[in-house]
Amino acid sequence: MAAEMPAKVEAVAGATVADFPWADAAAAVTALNTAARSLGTQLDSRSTMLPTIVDWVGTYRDEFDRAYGRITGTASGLKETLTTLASSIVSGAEGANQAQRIYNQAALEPDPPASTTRRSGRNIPV
Amino acid sequence: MATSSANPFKLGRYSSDGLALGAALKTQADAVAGKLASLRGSGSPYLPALGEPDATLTDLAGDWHHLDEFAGDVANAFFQANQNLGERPMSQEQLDAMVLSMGDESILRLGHVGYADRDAASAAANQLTQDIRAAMEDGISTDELNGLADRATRGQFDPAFAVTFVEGMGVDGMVRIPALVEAAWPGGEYGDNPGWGQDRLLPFATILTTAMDTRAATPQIDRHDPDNQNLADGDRLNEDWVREFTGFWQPDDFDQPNNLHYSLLVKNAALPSDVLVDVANRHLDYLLAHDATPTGYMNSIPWGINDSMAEINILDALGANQDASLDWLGMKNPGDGTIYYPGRTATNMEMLLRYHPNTIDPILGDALATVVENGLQHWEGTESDALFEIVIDTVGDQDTVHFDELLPTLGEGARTHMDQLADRTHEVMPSAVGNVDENAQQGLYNAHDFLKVLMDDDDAANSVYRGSLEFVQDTLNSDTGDGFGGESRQIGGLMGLVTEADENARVEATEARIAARQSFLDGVGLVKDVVGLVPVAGQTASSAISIGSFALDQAIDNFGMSGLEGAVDQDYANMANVRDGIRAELTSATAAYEYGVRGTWTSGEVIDATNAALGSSVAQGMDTDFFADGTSGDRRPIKPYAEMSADERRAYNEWLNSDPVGDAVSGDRTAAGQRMDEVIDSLEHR
Repeated sequence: MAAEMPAKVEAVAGATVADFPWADAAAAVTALNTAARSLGTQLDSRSTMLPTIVDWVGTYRDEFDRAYGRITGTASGLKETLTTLASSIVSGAEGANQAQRIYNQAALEPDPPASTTRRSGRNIPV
Repeated sequence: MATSSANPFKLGRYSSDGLALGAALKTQADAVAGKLASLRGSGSPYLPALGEPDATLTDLAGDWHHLDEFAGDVANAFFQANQNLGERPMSQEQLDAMVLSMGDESILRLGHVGYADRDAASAAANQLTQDIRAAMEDGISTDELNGLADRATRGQFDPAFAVTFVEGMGVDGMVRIPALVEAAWPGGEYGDNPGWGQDRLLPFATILTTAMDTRAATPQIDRHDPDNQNLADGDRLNEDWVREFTGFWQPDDFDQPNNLHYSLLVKNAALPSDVLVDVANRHLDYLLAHDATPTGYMNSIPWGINDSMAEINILDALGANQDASLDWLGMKNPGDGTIYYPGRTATNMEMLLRYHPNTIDPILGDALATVVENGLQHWEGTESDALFEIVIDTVGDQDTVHFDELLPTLGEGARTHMDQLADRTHEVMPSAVGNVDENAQQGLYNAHDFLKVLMDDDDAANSVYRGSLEFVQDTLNSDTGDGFGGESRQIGGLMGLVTEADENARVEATEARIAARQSFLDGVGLVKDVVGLVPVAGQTASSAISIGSFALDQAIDNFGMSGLEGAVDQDYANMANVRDGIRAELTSATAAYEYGVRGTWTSGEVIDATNAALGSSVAQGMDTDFFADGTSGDRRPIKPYAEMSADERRAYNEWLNSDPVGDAVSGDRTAAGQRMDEVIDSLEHR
């Protein structure tokens, strides 16, 4: 199943913002998924087309078959690579959301009470 | 010999279906590349390492495109070898069952087949580059050169192979390849094995052609393989390489890549027109501007008499490309690096016509003539017309053509552009306007002087007369039925110009020349038949002529032939007789126009006028009916003059001299004769 981008967790007021290119990442995931699907279609279609040229024999056919084998091998591997990269970007987005949640939580917690005793350990001239 | 078998229809279908799939994938590859490029600009710590899957995908799309092209090229080879295949009516079952066989060498040659695997093509090109560079350093035997040429042949049509090889060799490396061929020449000299080197050089030149074919800038009409239009930008020849190539110039250094070897590559390649124009400007400008004489490489002919002069090789390449010839001839500024840069005022056409080297080499003359012919006969009428105006004024001004080989070419140019010469007789005439600008008639004078130069050559003179006759026919064909006056004036003006130029050329009245004059006059004589054949009141001349102009077409087709058959009328040696004949024929044609096209008279009125003109001179039993036999009514067609009996001709001529005809045609006849006389008078009293 194609990877899907999670909904973005927005930063609350005063929270640190987790840096992530949401729009570009979403567009990239869509493009990667589409390309991976297209590669799958290519491989299926070409596999169906191949028997139509079974009559073709000779030196050039041999050369064709060698190139065909190499290219379809590359295509199969690349399909997986594109799918994996799309998933990795989605994981990155989830990581950014998780960080944002932590930043938001920190921003929402009340500040600790101010200390009444003078700091010590350092001799600050006045 | 190895053979291959295939069903070309199925293979062709596989190729086109595969290319469609590949095109869709390329779109996806472009999208992925664009999106990942945007992500790469981000510094987010949450993004994964992106790697380069976009580059791999783009490469894959290119590989598939290349493989599908390969299958299509093999299919095309079968179609090329069986060109009537598509014309046979066959059922789908028959088409599917068909399997053809042919030799692999023929497949390579006819299908322009490259490598199936693009990576293999690039690897083979890289290996060939390395081996050629090593041979340039270490020397080479004939057998070794043959081996390299065979490997070049294998990849010559493959765009990936070609771009990799050409860019790998660099411009200087490519230019040194002819020198490598020269070094391997069996026997050591051209005469030992004529043409050997050209055959070995050809695949390397074809590689250059294929590489140039991959450019996005290559005009579509110049592209040898339309599929190269759709290559990815990264698979195209770099334009910087092209600029370096067109800027190459190394005239005299025999130890370096030099102009002779460069020109051999250019001549044997088929470069796109824009590249060829730049090459021609760079390599011909010095020659034309300095009236330099092309000399053989090291004053010898290492590549044979036809291929050993750099500038002639460049001219030959230009002559093989009509578009490039046209563009180059019309250019004034030959570009950066040439001696007249910037701001030369003369076009290359004018430079070429004024080019006058000390030694007139017929091979050079032929090469120049081919380029000029390309320009003057080009289908781009406006640009070609502009070139012809330059020709008239340049040749007219210098009153000569320096290369005899140009004369027949310019004669045919005059034939094609005869309307422009006729237009120059429309310039202001002294009789028409009081105070004329003396320069106003310079165009007419140049036209006369140009034609006078052509009249020195029998072939060119023949073309001029033949073109004049065609002009007569075209002028009549364009008639709109509003009278013969305008047409006859145009024709009269051209007749005056041509006959005056012929007379002033003072050439010997050879059989061929007299034959041309006679054919011309005979052709003008046919005009009266043409317009008189189908008399329908209100009908325009063009519809009548379209039916009746067969005889005139024949006269044009057989132009000048009567002289070769020994049937020349020696009266036509005298120009005054030729002019009298033209005047009489124009009068006759005008009368025929009144009867045949305008319907001024009925057939009965024509007979009455004829009998009145004959008066008492008509003999008993004389046949004065010069209409077509077996016709009746008021609109009988006049019999073609050649088919009339002696009596009928006499009667016909009397009719032409009759009062009704005189009254009707006097205006047009006078206008034609007057324009003819005006032109002659103007030229004789300049």
